[in-house]
Order: sequence, then C-alpha cells, then structure tokens
Amino acid sequence: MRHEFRLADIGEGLEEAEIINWLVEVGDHVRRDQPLIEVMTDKSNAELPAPQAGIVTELGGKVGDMISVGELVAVITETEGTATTPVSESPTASALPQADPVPPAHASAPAPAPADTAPIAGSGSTQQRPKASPSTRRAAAEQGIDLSTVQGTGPGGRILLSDLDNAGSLSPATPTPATPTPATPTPATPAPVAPKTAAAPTSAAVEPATTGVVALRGIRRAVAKNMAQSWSEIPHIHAFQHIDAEPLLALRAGLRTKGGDVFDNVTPLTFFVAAVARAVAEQPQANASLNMADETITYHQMVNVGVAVASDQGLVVPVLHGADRMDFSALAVSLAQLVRGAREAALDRKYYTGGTVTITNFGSLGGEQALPLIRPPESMIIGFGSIAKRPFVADDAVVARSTMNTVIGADHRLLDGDITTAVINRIGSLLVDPLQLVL
Amino acid sequence: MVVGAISSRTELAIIGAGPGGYVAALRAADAGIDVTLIDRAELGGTCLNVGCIPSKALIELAQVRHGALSASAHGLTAQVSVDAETIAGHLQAVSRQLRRGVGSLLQDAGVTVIKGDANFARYDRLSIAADDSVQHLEFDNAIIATGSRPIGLPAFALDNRIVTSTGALSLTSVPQHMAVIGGGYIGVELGTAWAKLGSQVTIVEQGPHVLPNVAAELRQPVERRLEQLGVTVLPHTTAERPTEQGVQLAGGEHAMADIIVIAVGRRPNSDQTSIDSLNLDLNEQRQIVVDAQMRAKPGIYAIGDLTPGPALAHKASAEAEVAVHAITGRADSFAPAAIPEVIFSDPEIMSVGAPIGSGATYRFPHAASARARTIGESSGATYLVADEAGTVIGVHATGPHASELAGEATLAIEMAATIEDLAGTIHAHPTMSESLAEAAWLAFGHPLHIRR
Repeated sequence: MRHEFRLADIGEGLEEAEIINWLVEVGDHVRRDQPLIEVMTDKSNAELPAPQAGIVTELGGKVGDMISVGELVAVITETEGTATTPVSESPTASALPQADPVPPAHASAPAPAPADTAPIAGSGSTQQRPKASPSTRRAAAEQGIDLSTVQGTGPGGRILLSDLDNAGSLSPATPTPATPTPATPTPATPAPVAPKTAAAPTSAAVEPATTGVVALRGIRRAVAKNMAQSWSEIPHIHAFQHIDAEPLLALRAGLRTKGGDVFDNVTPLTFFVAAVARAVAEQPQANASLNMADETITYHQMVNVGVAVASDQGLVVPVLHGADRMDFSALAVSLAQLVRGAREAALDRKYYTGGTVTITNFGSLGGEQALPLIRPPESMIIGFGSIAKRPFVADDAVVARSTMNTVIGADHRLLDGDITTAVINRIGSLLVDPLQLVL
Repeated sequence: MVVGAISSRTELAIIGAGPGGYVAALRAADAGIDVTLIDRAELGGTCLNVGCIPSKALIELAQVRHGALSASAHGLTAQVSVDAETIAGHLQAVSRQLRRGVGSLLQDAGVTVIKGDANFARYDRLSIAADDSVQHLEFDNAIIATGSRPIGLPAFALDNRIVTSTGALSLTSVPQHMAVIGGGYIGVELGTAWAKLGSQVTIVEQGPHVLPNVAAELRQPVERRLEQLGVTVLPHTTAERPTEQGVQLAGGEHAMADIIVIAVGRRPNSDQTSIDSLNLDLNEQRQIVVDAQMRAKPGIYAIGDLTPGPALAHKASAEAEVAVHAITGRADSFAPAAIPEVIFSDPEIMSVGAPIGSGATYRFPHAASARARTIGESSGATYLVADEAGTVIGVHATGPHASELAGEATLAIEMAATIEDLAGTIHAHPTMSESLAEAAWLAFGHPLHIRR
C-alpha cells in the first residue's frame, strides 16, 4: 500500500522547512519511526521519522529544497511483512534496559512457548550496562544519577559509591539562586509566577486601561491572595534542567503526520502534562499537600495536573484530573478540551479544583527561564521554557540544537532536594525519550 | 445467582499468589500498605504447588534410587522398591508445608487473602467470584501476577493417561513406558526422574536436540547421561496423535507409552482475568509490556511469567520488589545485570549472564575437580566469561550441584567483580565452587589443577 508522507507542522507556526539531509534512499526498507530526513526550520533542526514501515519509493525533494507544510516528503510503500515490527526491537527493549532476548519459539511447540524455552538462553549481554554493585545502583537511583554518565574508577571501570559524589546530578550544575528574587534573566518573565505575564496582555479585558484606582476583584484578587500566601509561607526550592527538545518535536511531528484524529491535539504541552503526571506518579511523596493548621500531610491518590492558561478573565488554572491514569491519546484529547474550555470560560467550577501539581508553560510566551511560585496547598510547580536553538553538547561537540529549560519549584517544608531533583530529572528523561509517554 | 454483591476497598490488589504475588504482598504489607491477595487456587502458585518444588522433591527421590543402584562398583549394593503413591503423597506434603508457611507469613503481615476468580471490571475495580458470590474490590493499585500455564496439544486431549507436568508429579504408579513430548527443561527433568524410578522413557523433540536453547558444551553431558539411563531421545520428530499403546509419530514410527507427558512449553495467562479489558500492550509472545518499574499502565503493574523475560520464579519475586517500590515511591527499576537459570537435569546446568564465547571464555573441566571426583560425576565443566576489562560477565556450568554455583556467579556479575576478585577469594575445599577460582586462575595464565 502506498503511503504519502507529507510535511506537518512540527513546531509552532511552521510554514516550510529546508531539506538538510536525506537519511534514506529510494529502495531502502525503513522501520516505523526510523528517521527519514533531516530538515531545518526557522526554529529548529528536526529529523522526521517514518510514519510506518515499508520501502521508500519516492523522495519529495533534494538537499537544499524548501518543502512547505502539506507538501510531499516521501512515499513509503508498505509491503507484506513490513507492517509489523519485531517485538524485540520495540517497546520491550526500551522498557527493560537489560531486557533478555526473547527466546525463539520452542521447536516442538505449536504456539509461542516463552517459559519452557526461556532458561539458559543467556540472560543477555552485560556489555552496555554501567558496571556497578546493586548498592551503588540503588544510591544512584535515589540521587537521580544516570549511571551511564558516571566515570567509574574501580577495577575494570566499575563505578564505586564514591564515584557518585562527582557525578552530574542536577543541582550542582545549575545552581539555584540563593535568594529566589522575582528577577529572572529573562525580561519576558519578570513576575515570580511566569504565567502572570500571560495574564498581562489579555487582562486588559478585566482591568480598565485607565489610570486611577480600581477595586481588586475577581481572578486578579484570587491570584493576588494566593501568590502572597505562596510567597510568604512556602520556602521554595527550585531546580533546573536544560534538555534536548528535538526528540519531542520529532515525535510530535511523527504523531501528527500519522494522521490519527486524536493526535491532531498533540502539542508540546501534551508531552509536558504526560511527563509530569508520570514523574509525579512515580514519586508518591511528591503528590502531597501540607496542612500546617493541623500539622498533617495529605498524600493524594491521583495526579491532578493544573495547567496555567491565559483566558479572557485572566490567569486560570484548569485541572486535568487523574492525568497519571490516562493513556497518551486520551490525555491529548482531554487536555485540548480542557484548555479550550478554560480559554472560552466554558468550564464548570469543578475543573478548577483538586489540583495536586501545576504546570506553567511560560515558554509559549518566549520565556527562557523563570522561578514559578507554588499554588497552595500544592507542593510543586513545574515550568517549561521556550524551545529555541541554543548551544548544546552532543557527542562531545557543541552544536546548535533546539533545547528547552525546565524548572521545578517545590515546597521545602515537605520535599527535599532529592525528590525535587528526581522529579525534574525524570521529566527530563521522559521528554528526551518521549516515545515512552506515547507507548 | 449473584445477590447483594459486597463492595470493599484496598490500597493494593494483587492477583495471583505465586512467587511473584505473595512476595509482592509481603513486601507491600511490610511497607505499611493495605494489601489484598487474590488467587483462585492454592497459595504459592505453580512453582510451589505443581512446579519447581514438587519436581525437585521427585528428582531427589529418583536420584536416591539411581545412586543406590549404581554404586555397586564402589562397594554398595542395594535393592530399592518404589511406591509411587507414597512418593506422590510426599511431594504433596512438601508443597503443603511450604504453602502453610506462606499462609502464616501472609497472616502475620496482615494481608487479606481471598480465594476466588478475579476479573477486572474497571481500571480501578475487580470483581471476585467465589462460591456463588461475587464481591467488588476497588483498588488504588493492582499487581497482576497470574503467571502461565502449560501449552496443550490439540491432538492430545488431557485425561488420566495424557498429562501435563502437573499430572507427571502425581502419578500413583511407575509407568512401564512413558513418552515425554517436548525436550525442553521440564521434559528433560521429568523424563530423567521417571527413568531413574524405573520407567522406559522416550523424549520426542521436534528440534535437533533436547534443551534447545542450551549451549552445546553445557548440554552434551546431559545428553550422554540420558543415553546411559536408557532414555530414548527422538530428535526432529513430531508427535501426531495418541494411540492405544502410546504415541503415533510423524513418519510412521510409534513410541510405547502408558503415560504421555505434554511438556511443549508454557504460555502467559494474559488471556484471563479480563486483562484484555485493560487495553494493555501485549507483545507477540502475549506477554504484558511493562516499563522498568513493572508498570503496564498507571496504577496497573504486571510481574512474573506474564512479562517479557525468562519465566522463572526468582525473576517474578525480584520484579515483585520493584513493583512494590514503585508503588511506595522508592527509586527502583528492574534492571538486573543477569538472571540466573538452573536446570535440574543430570548433571545440573547453571547459566547466568553473557553466553559462552561472547567474551573471553575460560573452561575448567570438572575432571580436575576434587569434589566432582568424590561425587563421581566429573563429565561437566565450569565456564567463566569476562569482558575486555576482565570483569566477569557470564558464568556457566554443567555438573554436580551446579545450581548452587548460581549464587556466587550472579553476585560476581551484579557486583561487576573482576576475574581477579574471583581468583583472590578463598573458596572452600573440597567444593564445586572452587571451579570458579580455578577458571579465574586459568584466565590469568596460572592454572592450578590443570596443565597449561
């Protein structure tokens, strides 16, 4: 079957892209998600993955050509047997880093026979696995350290417990300012809560554009009280990460190109919400509220993700309830409906309550970095900066790459640096390998 | 008829009380979670009731007879009579004792145990059917640990004569002729045991040899032993259908059998428990795809034979710990350096980590092992596999008590021990574990008990 792969909008407002490099030739067999082409837009370089397996039968242009959104990138012809990818190459491999090779079916079995044939197949090569004892592994996991980034000093390159001290956990690399002053490097986000700037341009609707004194009312009043409480009561700690955004852009492009209606709703925010929900669900201590009045901590069952949205009424935070229990397509659809509803002020009140963690997407306003404030009684807020070309180290070279900053603000009364760092690191690892969020 | 279904709530529902499920229950209860453990059958699952445990008890008894009968050249002459009914009772008693132990551990831990058939009614609710009543159980998290079951052969409908491994562990008389269909480890273990108890055993294998996924070096001592025991191995052979006297084989051959054991493999129980209603991802082996925290979906975890990897009790138990850690918010992931695999063939086979030949491989023949000589079983060898840096990445052995080498071997791999670490560790004499140090010395070019 012939499948025309057309250029989709891979970034906000993309109209056309330049072909930088073809990664396949006519006649090549490609797997689904195998990178086909490298393109450059005014915002980023991106590799576009094959939307399906098959044989490349036509290329949409040559290197240097411009392709507009909607124009042909390539034609992939599906042949028999290419439609299904071998299991050993797909999710299992990434799900279990040390996955055992799937044993070949037992010769005399009429059906796949995992059990009887499994033993002694060899538990897999240990070559790529960082060498470290179980106790060192545990310590690394608890400190959010990726062992593959640690240089081992032990015999045979073994990573010792002491090697973790020098390892690149997040906090030393990106020091948190000692005083969380509202001033941030980016003029675009001067306020302590970045999304307030979101309210600024649109808040004209509720704040008369005249000089003089007006009553503090409505959403502005609620935000004022809420943020004052946050600022005065919550000792914030912040941690940052600077991550490669290209896998996310590429996957989003791939999902949209695939054409399923549900994926039309996918934006970078969809990935942010999914990553936050997953990361917080994995750290149940982080999904909590502190109640100083009766000195208790409430641990929440579900991760309810609030998303700061600029609406006609000002800054509002609709909540996606149970985001950790939704699969990606359901999340994409629900989130799109929620945000649309909030923008149009069409949501019932219940959609604004019960949040357990908030996301601020200040990057959509151009903000690079911010120190967002937590919305009490939540214990965390997670911010995402703009996706733009920045110097990035890849394969020991500094390259121009689409990257983004992420930030977490946590209530230090409840959470310490370890969990805070683990959550932002996990969000980073999910966004850098975003297929995990979709599968 | 269902009247007045009861509805209750639990923090963690675990379906399946085998070595995955009951370990998860104990660990979760230990962490202070309210746990409900559901199984439609006995506590302990396949392993404890109809798998690893009774089969090892059978193999031990069979070896007692075989050892007594084969020591006449060394001055020991014996007559051993076999009472299969008592043996079957003994196997059940061993399972029962362990099952009771598990039961009281669960009771002490405060785990609620429900005997019944669980089905997912929703993402957060099970319906549990037992004795004409149905109760609903809502949960915050669920661990699916329902394991696997033997694969059947359509032409061989099970009855008193055609049995699976379960039936082969409860025979009340020694069959004169036994046909084992499938030469995997289950078929070899059971075939060997019944041969030692006096049966004339035929193993029918479609592939070129028994133990299809075992390296030739490790397999060959077992193949020689099967031959010595008079076991007929028919490779490249397909069993077509049962006959009155045995099994009709493709190509016109016939194998005599009073008992036909079907041991062609096991399949995951992913088609039960209404798992399909959860829309989980299954791979081509019908195993549930999980992430490194054993999570199939938020709030839904799967462990053991249901998930990719070898179908082994100790893998299930290790995964249980990871799943509970994920639920309780501890940083953990299932990423073992290696999972040891043991086969209780004669002699035993142990295999862990990188395969023979995948790195520098050092072989210490048991002919040079004092312990192997005293046991009277010196046909096998111990193999050590190291990477370029000298780190131990694989250990394999065929020999007496080879299964007991799995501990040191797996620890060495998990700790990223080097061959120097093994060579520098004092090993007790005379034990089979010395073979690890001997192989390590060989790696240094300083073999001790074998010639250079």
